[in-house]
Amino acid sequence: MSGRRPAADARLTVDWTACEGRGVCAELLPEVLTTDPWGYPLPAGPGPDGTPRPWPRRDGLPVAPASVADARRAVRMCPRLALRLEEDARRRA
Amino acid sequence: MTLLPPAPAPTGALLLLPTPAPRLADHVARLGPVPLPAADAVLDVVRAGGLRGRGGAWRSTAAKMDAVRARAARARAARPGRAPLVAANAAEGEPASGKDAALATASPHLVLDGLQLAARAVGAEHAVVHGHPGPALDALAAAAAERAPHDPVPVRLVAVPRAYVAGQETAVARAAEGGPALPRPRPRDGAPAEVAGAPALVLNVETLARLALTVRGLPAPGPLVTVSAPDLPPRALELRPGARVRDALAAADADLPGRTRAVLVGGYAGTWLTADAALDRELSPEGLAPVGASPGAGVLLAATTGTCVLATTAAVVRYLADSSARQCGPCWRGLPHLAGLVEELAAGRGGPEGLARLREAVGLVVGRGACAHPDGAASTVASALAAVPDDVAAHLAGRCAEVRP
Ligand code: SF4
Ligand code: SF4
Repeated sequence: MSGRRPAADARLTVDWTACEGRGVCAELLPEVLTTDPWGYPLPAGPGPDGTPRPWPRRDGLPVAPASVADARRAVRMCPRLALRLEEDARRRA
Repeated sequence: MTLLPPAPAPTGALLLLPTPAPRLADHVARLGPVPLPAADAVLDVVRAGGLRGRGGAWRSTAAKMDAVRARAARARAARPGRAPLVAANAAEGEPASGKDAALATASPHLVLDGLQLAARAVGAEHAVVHGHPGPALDALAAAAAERAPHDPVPVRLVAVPRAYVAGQETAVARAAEGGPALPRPRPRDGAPAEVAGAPALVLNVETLARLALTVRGLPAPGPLVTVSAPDLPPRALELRPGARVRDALAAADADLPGRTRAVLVGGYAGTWLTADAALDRELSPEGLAPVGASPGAGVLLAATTGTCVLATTAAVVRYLADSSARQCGPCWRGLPHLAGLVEELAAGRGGPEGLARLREAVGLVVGRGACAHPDGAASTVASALAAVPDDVAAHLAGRCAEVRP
């Protein structure tokens, strides 16, 4: 995918059956992801009452336009090809 | 769990749990042959009847049929000859549920009528019955053999080992392909499961039985539930329409409502409610939504006087952790971690710090699996903490007010 495509409303999903928790994604995308105690990706930033931010299972994790290029890179670099970025230009209109 | 004999009638004639289970000739004499109208007519009736999935999700059956039809049209355009599959889902992995087994044993022909109607609605050319070996699957197999000469769509049996997640829709699809009955990821929640490139319509056996009654123009039966308590093994009951949680408990045991402290509503992956919050709620998604619960697959687990809600929760979460299909890291690592922390709390160890770690562990599993299994465990734990704050406080002080006064 071209990195020059206009940044749109993008959402990150993980194939949890494939992910092995090496944490490459969190290193490449620190503004969006951190890791849990086992190394699996977790939404960055504090959630309610200091608990982890829940992962939005239904729609995927929103990625801000400024982070979309990094997110595309994380998708390419994931050693297990477990990440998917859904970019939907229509949602912007 | 053990399969249940159909429970005695609480009121009037039972549509879903008749005794004895009718053979094909009695079934047809009682209800008439199943009408098989055109696909659109089936869909219209389903839509008008507001039929929803009774496997626990309560999704609109018409919406599910629409999605399968749309996907099937696309699959056919890409590869002609690919017809969708329909599946009757009799896999009831939930240990506290027995209503599907009771229904399939008592009304196998009603279920198979529904299966033919569902096949008609989406243009399926083959059907499977998916379930665990046992009396319910035996009843469905015998009924399917008995009616094979009349059924337009052939029915195949898929027996899978008993497991908590074996009834997930994608697990049903995988087993139909000859694979293991384990969930697999799908692009988006709500997209139909697929079997060999064609969409699959997977419907719970109770949903199918209700479909067969709706198309015949018969009144919708009341809720079908399974009630259990520490001293009461799971019992399947057909209730009158509009029944409340109290009615369900009383139908299982007349003095159960009076000695119930809290109810786990919806099953192991459910919501704890205090008796005050639960008893007078109608047993429907609308009736339970205001208190943050859903009937799920119609499971009610009562915690009676002298039962520790937190200890019950610990046992439930340990069971769910052991039931992880071990495909997704946050599920198979996160659930045992969560179970351990609930056990600590229930044992009166851990203190406030343990409770904080427990709340964190709940957040760690939410939304992070190929199926909703981890979310169910999170819901049960979070709702227990919210429903019995006094019990939690007592346990933080190292004692259980209920069991060890
Ligand atoms: S890089 Fe891929 S395999 Fe590694 S933690 Fe992230 S999603 Fe999982
Ligand atoms: S979330 Fe758990 S139960 Fe569901 S597929 Fe993944 S490992 Fe299996």
